[in-house]
Amino acid sequence: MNSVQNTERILFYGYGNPGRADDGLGITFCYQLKEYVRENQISGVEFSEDYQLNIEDGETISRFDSVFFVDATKNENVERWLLTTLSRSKELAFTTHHVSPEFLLGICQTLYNKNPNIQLLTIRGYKWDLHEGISSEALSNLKSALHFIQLQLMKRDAKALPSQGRA
Amino acid sequence: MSRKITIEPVTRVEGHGKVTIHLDDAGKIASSRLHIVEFRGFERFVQGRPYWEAPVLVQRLCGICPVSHHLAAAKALDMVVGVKQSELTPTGMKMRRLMHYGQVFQSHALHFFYLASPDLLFGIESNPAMRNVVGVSDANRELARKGIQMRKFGQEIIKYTAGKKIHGTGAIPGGINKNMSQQELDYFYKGDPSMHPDRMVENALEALEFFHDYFTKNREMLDTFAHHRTSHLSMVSRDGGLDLYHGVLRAIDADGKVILNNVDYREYTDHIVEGVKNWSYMKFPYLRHLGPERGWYRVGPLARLNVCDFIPTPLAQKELEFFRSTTGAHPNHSTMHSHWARLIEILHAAEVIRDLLRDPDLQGEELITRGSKGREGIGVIEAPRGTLIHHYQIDDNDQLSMANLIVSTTHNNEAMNAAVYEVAKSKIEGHTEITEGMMNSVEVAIRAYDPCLSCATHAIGNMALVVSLYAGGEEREDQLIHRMTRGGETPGSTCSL
Repeated sequence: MNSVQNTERILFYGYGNPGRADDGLGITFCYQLKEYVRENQISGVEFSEDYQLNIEDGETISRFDSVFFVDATKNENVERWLLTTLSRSKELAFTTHHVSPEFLLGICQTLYNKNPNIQLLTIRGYKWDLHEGISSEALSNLKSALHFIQLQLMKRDAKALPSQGRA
Repeated sequence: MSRKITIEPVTRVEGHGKVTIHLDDAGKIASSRLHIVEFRGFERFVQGRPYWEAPVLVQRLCGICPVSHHLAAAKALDMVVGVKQSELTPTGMKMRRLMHYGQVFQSHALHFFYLASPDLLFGIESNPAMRNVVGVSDANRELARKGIQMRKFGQEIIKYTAGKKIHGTGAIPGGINKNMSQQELDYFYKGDPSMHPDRMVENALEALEFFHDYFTKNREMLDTFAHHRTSHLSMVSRDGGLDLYHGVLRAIDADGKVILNNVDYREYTDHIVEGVKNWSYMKFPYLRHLGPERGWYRVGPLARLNVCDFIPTPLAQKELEFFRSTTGAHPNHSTMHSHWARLIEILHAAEVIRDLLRDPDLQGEELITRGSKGREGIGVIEAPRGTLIHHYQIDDNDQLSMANLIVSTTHNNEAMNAAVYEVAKSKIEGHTEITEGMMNSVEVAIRAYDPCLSCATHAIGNMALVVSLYAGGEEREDQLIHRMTRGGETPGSTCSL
């Protein structure tokens, strides 16, 4: 098996509600990538999953050099998946249940003086009703995104991680 | 001329509520109401489901305190499957206790640091743009970091006991479905030092030190803001100690006289009645033998510290003694002291968690106790916000046929309305112009109860809100006296007078 040694610490954080069909895309992506990382003994990569982002996640991400947030999207302009680099925001949503990755970066910088590279991977979903399981269309998009990230991980160094991408 | 003021929604609380304040012809407060405008229906739609689903289903009542509902339902179903709390295995009991104290720890930390501290740090009538968790982060990094650490710690305790941080499945009828592995335990002792249980005790003591300093400088406000005499109710252990997981029901009146003592909570229907009013979906519980006018009470941290005889952990007990010294032999009715009581409970929870994590029973292999099945179960627990009651009946098909839930905030309904009335009298009566600070004053009184109005989550400021004062009771522009907007207009968020 290949073994990729790297000192950079990367976090993949999937979030969403697996009880609402394709809203579970972020968490499912992380589960599958975790298996790949384990099988290929890729070092320096960790995972976290939750229903939603919380303010204390600002502390979690301060421990990493790069963080990929992974979430589902309904946005029709996203054909299959989209990877974007984020910058900090002090904008508060109405509610702590809608804390954004940008807001977490702000918490990270303000409270912990850390400035990890933050990216958001959104995967296009289609079904949002109350049941578990990803739709076949969304699963195809997930596999495409997974393949891209897997390739990047296999050949990565600190500078080679993608700053954006789209499929 | 009589007037009506409406505040909708109430911010930095869990869920949706609105406040209406009626002024009479002389401009005096005639009445005030906290309306709960959500209808959830859990008691109805869980009927027909297999009874063992209850601990999982009812967690969906809340994303902030799901563990409380999970454990209250599990306790009720212990009774259904014929298992007493004293018959749970040591591993089962201690895992559940650890889960519960982890929940209390993180919930109280979230409330104090994220929701309440902005008012304390910046002032009730300060700039609303600052009065949120971002403002706290900018003004007091150490306080903000402490809050984050403590909330994270409590969530990790829940993850390793319930299986996941939100909507876990650890407690089942008759016991639990997992123990705590050595690897999970190592997270707290061999991982990040900031997650060490001793650090949480230190953090809790430092938070109390912050509050002592604040108390010294702001005692008059803390003592008098929304102060109102009430009875208090909570569960205590059989020897009268603070016990958040299991015990007997006790209540005291406003003078400290015991009005309900050592009641088995399975007999709650003999003692607690749920009143209804036509202007709110939330009920109004009261003690049966005293009636609706005299029988209502508070629950939650302030009530618990008023009702219990002692706290069984030494550092929190010492804090309790100082807390009580401020009111002498009398119960504490100062609503803002709820924040202090909450911090004392955080310290108590930290001590309990530290001691439980050292107990090898957590790695035990016996997880479940079996008994003879019955048809009815009642489970009561002291949730972060107060006494929580779950009551179920099952039919011949093992399906739930009845569910009655009295959540903590419901017990506090009358008390919160009384608090709103007190603040309205002191802050709004006699004024023709409503300021944002006045609105927040009313909200501060409600927020001290840490209500879980369910559903819509914690709003942390800048909620779009419009408050308008009209003469003559009609919402017409030619009758407009004054309008105040915060964060942009929200259709429907108006008041009329």
